[in-house]
Amino acid sequence: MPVSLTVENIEKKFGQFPALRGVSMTVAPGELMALLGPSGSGKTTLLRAIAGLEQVEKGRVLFDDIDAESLSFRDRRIGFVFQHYALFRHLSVYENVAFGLRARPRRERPNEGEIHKRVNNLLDLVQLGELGARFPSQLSGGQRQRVALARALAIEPRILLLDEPFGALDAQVRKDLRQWLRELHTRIGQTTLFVTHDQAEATELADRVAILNHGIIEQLASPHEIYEHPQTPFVCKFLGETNVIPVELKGGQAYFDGYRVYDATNYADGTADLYIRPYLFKLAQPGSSPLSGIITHVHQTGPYWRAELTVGNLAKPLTIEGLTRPLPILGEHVAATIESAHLFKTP
Amino acid sequence: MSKMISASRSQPARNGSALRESNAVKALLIGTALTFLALFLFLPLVIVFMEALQRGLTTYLEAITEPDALSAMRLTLLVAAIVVPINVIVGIAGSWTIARFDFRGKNLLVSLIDLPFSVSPVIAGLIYVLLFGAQGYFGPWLREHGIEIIFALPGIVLATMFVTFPFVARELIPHMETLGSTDEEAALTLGASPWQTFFKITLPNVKWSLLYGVLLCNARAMGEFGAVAVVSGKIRGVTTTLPLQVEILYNEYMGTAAFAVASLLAFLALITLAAKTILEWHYAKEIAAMRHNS
Amino acid sequence: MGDRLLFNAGKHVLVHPRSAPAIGRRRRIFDIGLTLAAFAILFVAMSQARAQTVELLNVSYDPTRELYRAVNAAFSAEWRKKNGSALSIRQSHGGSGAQARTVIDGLNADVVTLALAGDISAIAERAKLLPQNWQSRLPNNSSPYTSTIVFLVRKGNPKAIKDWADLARSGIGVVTPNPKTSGGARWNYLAAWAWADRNLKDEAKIRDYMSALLRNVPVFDTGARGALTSFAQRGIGDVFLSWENEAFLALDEFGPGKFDIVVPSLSILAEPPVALLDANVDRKGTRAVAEAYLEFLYTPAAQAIIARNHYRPRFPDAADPKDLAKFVKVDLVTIDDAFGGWAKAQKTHFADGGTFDTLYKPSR
Repeated sequence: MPVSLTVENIEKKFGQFPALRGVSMTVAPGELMALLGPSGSGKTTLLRAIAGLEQVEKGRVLFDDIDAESLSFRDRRIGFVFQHYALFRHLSVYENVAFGLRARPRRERPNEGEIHKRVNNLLDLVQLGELGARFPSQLSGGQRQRVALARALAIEPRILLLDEPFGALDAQVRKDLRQWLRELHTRIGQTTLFVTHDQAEATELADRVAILNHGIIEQLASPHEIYEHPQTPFVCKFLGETNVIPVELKGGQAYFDGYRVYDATNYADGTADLYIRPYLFKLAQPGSSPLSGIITHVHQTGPYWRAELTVGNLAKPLTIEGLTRPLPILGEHVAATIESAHLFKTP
Repeated sequence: MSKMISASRSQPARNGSALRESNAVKALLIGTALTFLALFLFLPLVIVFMEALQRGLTTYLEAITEPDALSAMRLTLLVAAIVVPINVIVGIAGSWTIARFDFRGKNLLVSLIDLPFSVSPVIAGLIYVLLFGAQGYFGPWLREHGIEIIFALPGIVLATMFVTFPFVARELIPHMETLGSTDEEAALTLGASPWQTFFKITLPNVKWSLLYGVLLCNARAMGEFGAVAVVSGKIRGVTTTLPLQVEILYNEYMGTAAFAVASLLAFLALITLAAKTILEWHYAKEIAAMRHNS
Repeated sequence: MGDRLLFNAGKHVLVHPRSAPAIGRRRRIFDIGLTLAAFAILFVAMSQARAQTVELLNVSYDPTRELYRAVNAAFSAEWRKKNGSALSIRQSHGGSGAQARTVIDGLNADVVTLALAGDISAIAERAKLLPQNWQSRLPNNSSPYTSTIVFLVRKGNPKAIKDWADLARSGIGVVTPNPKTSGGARWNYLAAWAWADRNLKDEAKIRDYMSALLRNVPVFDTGARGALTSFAQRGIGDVFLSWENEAFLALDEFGPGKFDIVVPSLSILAEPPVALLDANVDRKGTRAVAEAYLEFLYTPAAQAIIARNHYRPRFPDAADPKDLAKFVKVDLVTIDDAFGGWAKAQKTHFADGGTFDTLYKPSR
C-alpha cells in the first residue's frame, strides 16, 4: 500500500543561512510530486531532511501517521536516488541492487533464493536484466540511473526520493528516461518525490508540483494550476517567460501611463504589476493601446515568430510571440493589446 | 596512447622530424633516469648483498641466525605488527573525521598529522624521553608503578608510531575527500548500519590507498633508525631492532655480519616493493576504474 | 559472517568470470590480517616468557664490546657453578657520555662501565642512582683495567714515526677525530699536550708544536670510527691516533700485514671506571649479583680476559705472558696529575675559546 508523506513546518539552517524556513506539505499516497526551484532554494535540503540525511531544527516528517523521528535509518525505508547515483563502484550491478537486502539484520534478511528473485525482477523492471555482472564503471549514464532506481526500490521503500534524477544526463536520454519513469511510476504506484530545477521536467512528470524559493513553498498545485494560476510573481516568472508592466488600479481597471490596459475587476485600488506571457499579446494598429512603440527585433523559430517591442515608458522592451501572418516588420510602429495577464499587487 | 601513435603514423610527413627529435630527447631523459636509478638505488642494493655474501653462504647464514640478529628480527617484526594495525585504525578514524566533518581547528589537525614528517626522528625520540624518561614528566610516577616505557618495547613502539603515523592518513585523506560521503549516505538509506557502511562501502572504496599507506607505513616501521635509537637503550638482544643491529655490527668491525643483517632489511624492503608492484599490476584495471568512475 | 554470505551469493548468481576471484582475494586479505594479529600476540607472549630469567644489564661504552662479551661468559659460568641459577647479562654500548645520559633518563642499568669517571659522576649527581663517593668503593679508583693512546701506522712505518715529535713534522698526515665531538680525540690531544709539556716545557713552544700537529690533520672526522675508516680504507694520512685496545682490534680486523702499532715515549693513562647503580639494583633485587660481577673484574680470571682483550690489566700476574708481551712499557701520565682533572682540562682546552680553538686554524 502506498504511503502518504507529510512534512510539517520544517526549518533548517546552515550556519547563519536559513535553507528551509518552515516548509509544510503532504504528498498523497501513490502521488508523483516534483520539488521545483532554482538552485539554493532548499529543495535538495528538503529531500535530504525527509530522508533523515539532514538534521532539522524544527518540524517533523510523517509517513502516514508515523513520525520519522521515531524510526531508525533502516526502518525509515527511504528509497533515495542520489543526483550522481552514488553507485557502489566496487560492487557489481547485481550486488548494488542486492545491497539493501543483504544489509538487513539476519532475522529479516531474505534467503539467497529470495534475494536472487527480487534482484532479477528489479533488474528486469529497469530493463537491465542482462547487465547484473557489470560494474558501474561499465555502464552508460542512463543505465546507472536505472541501477540506482532499482537499488532504491529493492528495500521496498515507503516513499521514493529522487534528487535531480535526470540532471547528469544528456538531452535525448533525459527525454526517454522521463517518459519511462512516468510509466514506471504508473506501474508500481509508489509515493514519489523528486527534485528538479527544470520546470518542463516537473510539469511533464508530476501529478503536483511544489515550487520552492528561499526555503519556503511558494505554491503547491497541479502543473496546470500553477501555470494557469500562479500564486506569486516568483512562480509566474519561474514557470516561463513573462513581461512585467507596472500598472495603477482604480475602480476595477488597470491603467498604464494613464490609459486603461487591462480589466481588474475585484481588485482594490493601488499599484500592481501585470505579468504577461509573450504569446498573450496581440498586435494592433498604433495608438489603439498605450503599449505602443517600435519593433526593434524580429526572428523566427519554427512556426513562431518573436519580436521585441520597445515602448517609450517601459524600461525593457516587451517580448511578443505569435503565429499569425504577416510577421511584424523591423522598425514598424505598432501597438500591443493584452489578451490575458496575471495581476500581482505590489506591496 | 594507441590513438596518439596511430595518429602520428598516419601523418608521417608532417610529424616525422619533430617526432624524431623528441625521441632523441626522450631517449636521453630515459637514459639519464635509468643511470641515476642504477647508480643511486640499484647499485647500493647490489653492494649490500655482495658484501653480505662476501665470506660465503655459511658465514651469511651464521650472521643472520646469530641470537642477537634473530632477536632484532623478532623485535622489528613485533614492533611493525603492533604499530601498523594501530596506525591503520587511528589513521582511518582520523582521515574519516577530517574528510567528513568541518570543525574548528581542522586545518591545525591536518598540519599536526604531517608533523612527524617535518620533525627530525631524533627529536621525536627525545620527546618521548622527555615525557617518559626517568627525569621526564611522567618518569617518577611510571617508575613508582614499575611501568617501563622508555628503553623498552613500549617506547620503541611509541617512537615508531610517531614517525610512521602520517603514512596511512596522508594516503587516505585526499582519497576520502574526493570520494565524498554520498556512497556512505546511500548505504545508510539502504538500511546498512554504520558498521556495515564502514566495512562494505567506506573501506572497499579506499582499500587501495589504505594498502599503499600500510605498505609504506610498514616499510618505515621496520626501517626506522633515528627515533628508535634514542629510545632503545641499545640493550643487545632485547631492545635492538634490525637497523640498530646493523649499526652495532658495523661499529664492531663486523662488516660482513652488518651487511648480512642489512640484507634482511633490504629483503623486507624488496618484499614490500614487490607487494606494491603486484598489487598495482594485478588490480590496475580496478584501480583505474575506481579513480575515474564517479 | 555477513561478508562471506554476501560474496558466496555473488558466486552462485553471477555468471561473470570476474566475480569468482574477487571473493578469494577479499578473503585472503582478511586472512593475512588475522595471521598478522596472531603473530603479534605470539610475539608478545614470547617476550613475556623470556622476561622470567634473572637479567643483569651492563651499560658500557663502545670499545668494550669484545671485552665484556668474554667477561660475561666467564662470570655467568662461574655464577651458575656457585649458585646453580641461570644468569643472563645484557649489554648496551654507545658513546660514553650518551650512555650516561641514557642511564640518567631511565635505562635500567645494574652496573655502568664507562670511559670517564665524570660520566658516572654525572649519573650520581643528576639521577642520584649511586652515592657521590662511588669511585672509592672499589680498588684502583674503581677501574679494573687501563688503556692508553698509541699510534697506528702503515706497515713498516714508512714515515718513521716514533714519537709525538714526529707528528708535527711537515709532510706527515695525522688522522684523529674532532676533539669538539669525540671524547677519544680529547685524549689524543691531551696526550700530545702532555708530551709537549714534559719535553718542550716552554708554553710558546708547546703551542707551536700543537698547532703544527693540528695543521697535519687533513680532515677531522666527527667520531673515532669514521676517522679509522678514513685512515684504513680510504688511505688518508700516515698515522692514526688510537686507543691501544682499538689499535689491536684494527690489526685483527684489517689483517696484521697492513698496519703497525707504535708506542710513543710518553702517553696518557686512561682509567675507565665501573660502578654499581644502587637505586636500580635495589629496585630490581639484583644487588648481590651486580656486586659479585664488579668484584669479579678484579679476579685473576677476569684480569687474564682483560689482557687478552687488549686492555692493560691492573694485576698483570694473572694474565697470560703472551698477552702481556704486546703492551710496550710506556711512561704514563694521568689527567689529574698533568691537567688537574677532567673538568679543568675540558675548560682550558676544549671549551669555546680554549686552546684547541686558538691553535687550530683551518687552512683555506
